Amino acid sequence: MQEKFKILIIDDSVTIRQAIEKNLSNFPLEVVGMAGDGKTALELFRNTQPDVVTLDITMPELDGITVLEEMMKIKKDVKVMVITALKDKATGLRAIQIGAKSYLVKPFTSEKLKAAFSRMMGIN
Amino acid sequence: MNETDLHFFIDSTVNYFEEVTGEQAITGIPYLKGKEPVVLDYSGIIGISGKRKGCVYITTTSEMLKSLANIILNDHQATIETVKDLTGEIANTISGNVREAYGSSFMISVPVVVEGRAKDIRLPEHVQTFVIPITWKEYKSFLVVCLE
Amino acid sequence: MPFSALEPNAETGKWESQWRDLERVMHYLLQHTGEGIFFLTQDLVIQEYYSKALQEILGISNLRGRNLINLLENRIPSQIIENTKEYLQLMFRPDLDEEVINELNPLVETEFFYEDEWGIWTSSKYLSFTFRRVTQEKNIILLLITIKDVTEKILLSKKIQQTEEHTQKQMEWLVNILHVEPEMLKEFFIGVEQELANIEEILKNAKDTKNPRELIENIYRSLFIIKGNASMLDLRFFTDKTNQFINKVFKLRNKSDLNGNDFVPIVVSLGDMREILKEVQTIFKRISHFHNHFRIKRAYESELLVHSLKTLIISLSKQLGKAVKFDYKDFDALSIPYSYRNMVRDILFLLVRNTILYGIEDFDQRKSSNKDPNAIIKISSMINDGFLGLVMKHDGRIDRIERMIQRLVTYEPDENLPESSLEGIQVTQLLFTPNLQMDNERELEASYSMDMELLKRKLKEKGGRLKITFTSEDCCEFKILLPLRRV
Repeated sequence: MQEKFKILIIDDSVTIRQAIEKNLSNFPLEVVGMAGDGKTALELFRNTQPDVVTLDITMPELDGITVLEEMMKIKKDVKVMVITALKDKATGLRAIQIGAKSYLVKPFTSEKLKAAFSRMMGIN
Repeated sequence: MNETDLHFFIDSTVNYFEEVTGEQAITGIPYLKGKEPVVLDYSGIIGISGKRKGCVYITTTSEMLKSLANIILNDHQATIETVKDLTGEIANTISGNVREAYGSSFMISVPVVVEGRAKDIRLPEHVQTFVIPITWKEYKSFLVVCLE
Repeated sequence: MPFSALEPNAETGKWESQWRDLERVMHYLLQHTGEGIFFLTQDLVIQEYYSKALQEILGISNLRGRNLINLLENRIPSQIIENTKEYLQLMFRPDLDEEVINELNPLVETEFFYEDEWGIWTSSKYLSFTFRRVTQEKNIILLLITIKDVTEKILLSKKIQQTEEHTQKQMEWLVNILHVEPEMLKEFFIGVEQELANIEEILKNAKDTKNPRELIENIYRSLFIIKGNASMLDLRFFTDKTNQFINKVFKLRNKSDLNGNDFVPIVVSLGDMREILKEVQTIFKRISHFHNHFRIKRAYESELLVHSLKTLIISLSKQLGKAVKFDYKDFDALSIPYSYRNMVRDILFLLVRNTILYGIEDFDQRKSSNKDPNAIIKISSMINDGFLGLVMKHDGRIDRIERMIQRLVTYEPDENLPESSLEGIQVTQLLFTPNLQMDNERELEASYSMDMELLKRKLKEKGGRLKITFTSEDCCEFKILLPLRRV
């Protein structure tokens, strides 16, 4: 049986969290948690130690970039896909520099999300 | 605000609907907001700071939001929570995308969602406010932009 | 390390205490100075000794050993970085005069961008760098660099410049409005407010329209009224702004498929006009108490009307190379009821202006037609049977009007109206049909018919009538009858 990757979904929009979960349902994933703010996200990350994270940037409590930096300190090999509405290059570059493996700008289609996720995970 | 600024917001809005739904939204003839309120069932408000200061909000009907939620989640029974949440997400995405033009000095806040048509949304009086009517399918919304 | 070259010869020893004193003084200075001070080697590396303020100014600690160019990257435009690299190379060349090179300093009052831990912009500062060579035995071993935070100074001077420009603009507006009678100015403002509000309503209700071209025409009409009123009062800045707005409206006429995006320039221009109106009204309020104090009397107001017409005739005919005599001996301004004064003024201004623009030939043309080179415009008034009558007559070229009408007919063909039967009512109808034309040659007709349309509206407000007659003495006469209300 194919091993399932543990995924943590972080976005302050419940709609987006549900959309991500739904669109990635065909991938071998186990959703270990969902968070709507940076603080809860970090707590969940520490407790669940996921393999994969989808991460928003503009969030209450702690922003996504700070959360990303902390995650890299806790578990360096986690695969993080930043999914954000911030379309400027500086933000994208910064996220990749810190350690994100993929960067997707909202609004995204189901196809774009799946394609970017497949590339990040090396899965067809 | 100049014509280029307004075009950034219009393009961002049109792009949002096209990407998410595959169906074009048509932006109507923009106008200056007067004293009358421009508020529908739900409004998602984003504060702008940094080099440019102001506020952007999208206001729309619950029917439009339910229709949009249906497409995004394939869910025919979107709850009030989903609908409210989506308002904020639309405002967040439209404003965030405009950063492609302005750069990282265009800072956007976390969205605030306001329910109901009771009152107008307070905007800075010394800054002109532009209203952009949006029609997606048969639904009408407004994007309201107030930027120094 | 370069500083070792400056240390005393260990063998001599006697210099040591002096050196230590110097070192203490240097440390003190570096700790307490408000400027960023550091030393740079030829490979652009920051040396051990630098001021505490440097860390604060650059927002970076542990600067020793860091490359200056790396610190500047992402903070200033790449072109300035390139210029800085070249400049620093030149500073290390002993064959080049330092003062000359300093003229090329690229880091004088440069805007620096600061980021937070996200790498996202948080603020900007203006920094000024000065560079000095440190030499030993004619060799350039280091550069001494000083950085000052000049943000306050720059922002202040920008603010002063903005304020000066704004004040200059306001002064121009003030000079422009000072010559206008306060009551006329107040009415002008009201008029502009109404027309701008009209345009706002047009845009707001545009979603219900099936005919965008009608929108454009309605907007144009409002702008034309504003422009006409501003011209009447010689408010040049308002006329210019309205012209710019009108040009944007005109551009839409050529577009076959109009959508919401096309109206963006319109709504932005509308916003600009609102701002100007607001500012001018503010200026007016400030000076209005002077006007109130020196308020003119009724009789003088009446003289003012004739005087304004005289001024219009003199200035416009001079501009156009025409000579016009103004006969107003049969015009009794005092007999015009106060409530009709503004309407009469507007009507006469319209008629006189259009007559000089389109009706009257220039000096040479009149001479060559064996006409008196000085044209005549005559106005008269009468009150009879409950009507106020106004007459304006001129002896300009009638055939120009006919030619204009012919052109109007060409643009609005009416197969039931053969040219030979053009007279009387048909002429008047054609004259009054607004026609938004595009190219410059036709713009005159557009402007003329728009003026006439405006006149028609004004008359309609009061239930007035207009009759145009081409008399046998080669004169054109406009006769207006306005019913007087019983008190």
